Amino acid sequence: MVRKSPYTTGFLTYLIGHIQALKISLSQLKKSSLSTFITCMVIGISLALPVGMMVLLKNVRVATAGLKNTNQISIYLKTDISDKQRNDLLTLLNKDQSIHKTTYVSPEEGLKAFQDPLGLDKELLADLKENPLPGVVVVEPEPSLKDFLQINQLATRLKELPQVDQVQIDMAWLQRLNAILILIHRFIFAIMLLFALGVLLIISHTIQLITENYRDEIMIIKLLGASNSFIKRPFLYSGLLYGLIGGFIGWFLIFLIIGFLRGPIEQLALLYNSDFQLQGLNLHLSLLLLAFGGLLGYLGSWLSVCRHIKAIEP
Amino acid sequence: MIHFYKISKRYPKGQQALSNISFELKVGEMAFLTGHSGSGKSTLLKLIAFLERPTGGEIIVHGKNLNRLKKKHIPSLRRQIGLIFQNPNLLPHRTIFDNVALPLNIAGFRLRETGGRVRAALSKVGLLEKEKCYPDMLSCGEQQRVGIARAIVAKPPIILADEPTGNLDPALSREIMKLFSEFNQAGVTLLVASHDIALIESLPFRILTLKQGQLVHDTGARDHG
Repeated sequence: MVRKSPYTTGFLTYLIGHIQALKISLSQLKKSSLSTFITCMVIGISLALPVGMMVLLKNVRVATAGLKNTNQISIYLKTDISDKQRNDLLTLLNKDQSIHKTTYVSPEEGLKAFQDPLGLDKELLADLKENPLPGVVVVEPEPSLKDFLQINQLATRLKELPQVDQVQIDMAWLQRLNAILILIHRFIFAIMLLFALGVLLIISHTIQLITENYRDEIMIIKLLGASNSFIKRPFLYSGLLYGLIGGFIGWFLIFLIIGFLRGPIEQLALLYNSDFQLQGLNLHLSLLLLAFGGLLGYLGSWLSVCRHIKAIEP
Repeated sequence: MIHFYKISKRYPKGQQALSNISFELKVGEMAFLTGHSGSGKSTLLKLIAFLERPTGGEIIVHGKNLNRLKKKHIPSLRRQIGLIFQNPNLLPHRTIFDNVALPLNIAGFRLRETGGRVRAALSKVGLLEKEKCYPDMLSCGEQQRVGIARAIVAKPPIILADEPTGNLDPALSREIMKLFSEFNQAGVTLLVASHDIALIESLPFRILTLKQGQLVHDTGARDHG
């Protein structure tokens, strides 16, 4: 009769070893539950701050995404030019290679456009002896001109023309807003990296303290012939758990903050005739946050365990 | 099984712990190591388990030359050896059962197998009813016996014991020695350090005597009976 081997094989050994390590790790965390809680809170707050800012920024993006992003240039003509001078200008503009399309809005059309949406009293406008509006040429630059600088150059060139009184780049503020958002995005990203580094150090330090507490045990287990990876495993699990719990706390804090801001922001949006709704973390981002926490926890404890377990030799 | 060839050990601080020791312990042999405290007994046992390294000579354990042992192979060497210390070195936060099960966990035994083996080892040292206790609930002698159960649970081919009866009364000491000779009859190679000369001379095993780091007497194998 072939006797069954007392050893487990392959994957099962692996699994049992990991379950045991997880149990040990859980008991480690439970034994110092207050300091575990504080550590997890610190990790949670460190994750919630930059990620929360990121969520708010994303909302700003959503809110401004509806704004049409074209680079129209309005040319206000001088009021004292003749029709011929005006037609010369239009011909010139239409020949210009960096201009895609021009539309001329006469003072009369301008007045009508002004009047319709505002619903101004016709009689009030009729009281005006003269139409105060200038002729306007709306210029759409070639789509290849995406850069704000290039548009700006075009605008400056147009302003030099003798018939032109004023030039306005209509959507310049949107461009500026976008540029500012990109800047803020970068800034938050940099902050996020710093906080991630902080979390890494917190976890690494916490795990180092735990390994110090278990110094004697580690020694004994080494005497019994445990490999380094066997000894490391519970500590790696502890780091992973710290990160995951911290990630969850971070998620919960963001959830609270979004809930706290939702009311006032929707009221504000209502005043702007917008049905904008504050968006929280979706499932995808929530999982990402958890995974990020777990990854930082694992890495942090790995960094500390690798150095310290080697140093403990019977 | 254990082969010492001209082994010397000098500690970094300068004291010579062992000098020019040669002997061989065959597979299935049992021997006592005796001598006054400070004669080098503990150092000799530590060399076998790779807890110390010799400054000269060669040691071969279970066919492996320890001078050429790679660092990553140390754990597997130690798993071949059941170590019993003067101080039982139990993990204070785990139950007696978990303490004894530790070598099996390290080696990756099946869970069902673990329970049976742990209980068999505990009942051999007469502590089966204490399996749910924690080490600090046990007396010194009981802790010592738990240490012995832990050393034998994985059935290693070699058992090294450093003063295993130091904390036990004569009756229990005799009991433990009887246990060791049972393991020996099952084919285990044992080297037991003890200064209880009266006890070990009453037993039919080889005795190696150390004095100031030198092997001064070797009885050779003595007849059983």
